[in-house]
Amino acid sequence: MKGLFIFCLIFYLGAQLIAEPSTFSEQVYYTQDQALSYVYPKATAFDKQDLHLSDDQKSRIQDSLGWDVQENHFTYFNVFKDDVFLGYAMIINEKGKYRPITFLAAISPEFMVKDVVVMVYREKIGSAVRKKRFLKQFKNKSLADAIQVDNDIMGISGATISSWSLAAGVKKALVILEDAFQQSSASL
Amino acid sequence: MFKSILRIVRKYHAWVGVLAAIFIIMLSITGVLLNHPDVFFSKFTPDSDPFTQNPHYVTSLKDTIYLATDSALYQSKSLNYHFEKIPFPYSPAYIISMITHDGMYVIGLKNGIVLKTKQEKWRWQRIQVPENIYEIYSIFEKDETLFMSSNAGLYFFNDDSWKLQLENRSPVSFKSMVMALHTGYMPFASLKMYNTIASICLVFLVISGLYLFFRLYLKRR
Repeated sequence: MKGLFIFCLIFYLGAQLIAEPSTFSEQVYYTQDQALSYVYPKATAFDKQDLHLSDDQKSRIQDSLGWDVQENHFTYFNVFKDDVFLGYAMIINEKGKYRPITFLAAISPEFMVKDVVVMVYREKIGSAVRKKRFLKQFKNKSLADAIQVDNDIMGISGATISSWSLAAGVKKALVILEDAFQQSSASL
Repeated sequence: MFKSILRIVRKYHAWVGVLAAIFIIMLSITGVLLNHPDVFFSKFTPDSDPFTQNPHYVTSLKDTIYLATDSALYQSKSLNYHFEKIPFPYSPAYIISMITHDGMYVIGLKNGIVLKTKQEKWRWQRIQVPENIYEIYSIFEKDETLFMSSNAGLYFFNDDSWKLQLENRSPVSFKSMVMALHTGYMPFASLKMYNTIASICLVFLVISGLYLFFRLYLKRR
């Protein structure tokens, strides 16, 4: 039995060393509904909305971020518990090293991050960014914070680029929502 | 012969272990800390002076000094070296090159990311690199063409994609494999969790060994 255990251990370690992960691997950790329930466990209603960025909006957002935004359309949710507005939830697809990482950012009515959850991971390596110990760093972040790895966010060793992508994506979600809702309240 | 070797091993095993204890503890603990910096290292909140943030890359482009620290990218256009922050999507700690090319600023990051932006406005965008590139050594311009030196070889940028100019055909040396295994770098990055567990086991072994040593050997004397 002991010999079998040692053999299995050596085999596993050897396989780790020589195994080449497949070129494309999609890991689905949460569906949309599961992710929404996870970040807002007490919510009773999720009101799905589509946000189409106008040229002006996109330009403002890109100026605020300092980098390009590829998408023109985003999906977000207004989240309620009975009649009480709990906040927003936005689905972001942010490019990792080669492929997008899909995650959900829960943002409070005051435009602070409540939670982040990784829904789909498509890279060969770096999926450690889905772990709570990394994602909890984003809690209570707002646009007053840098939200940048090696600044106010510690990256994960072995998931460097994915860490960067998550940080950039969370910041993008904050900028987009704040622009959309502060602009609309300013125009009222 | 075997018995005499065994006798020698028994005699000196404990003392050699005590001698090596500090080294093993140091190696194990630092290894665990470096494998999991997000757990053990506190976030660094930089102040406005870039020279308190480990400035590691400085260059001058078009009469402006650009400076990359661990936390931010800065520029200084004034003679009194007043630096102002530039928005940057990723960690500037990995910047290895910043050049001008075709009216743009182009930045290369060590782990295989290339970004460009127009010079009039900071709007960084990615230039996709081939999938076999995991380390960029430098980027440069020659005859108005953008070049990238990487682990896979020398590439030039043409028609919105990178073309291989000269392949890196260096044989994988035993030394480089040893270095990669020692540092947990590719292709041994997947051993990270195993290395962490083994390091913790080593710390336990050293501490328990020292306890047994003091209990058995020194008390006996």
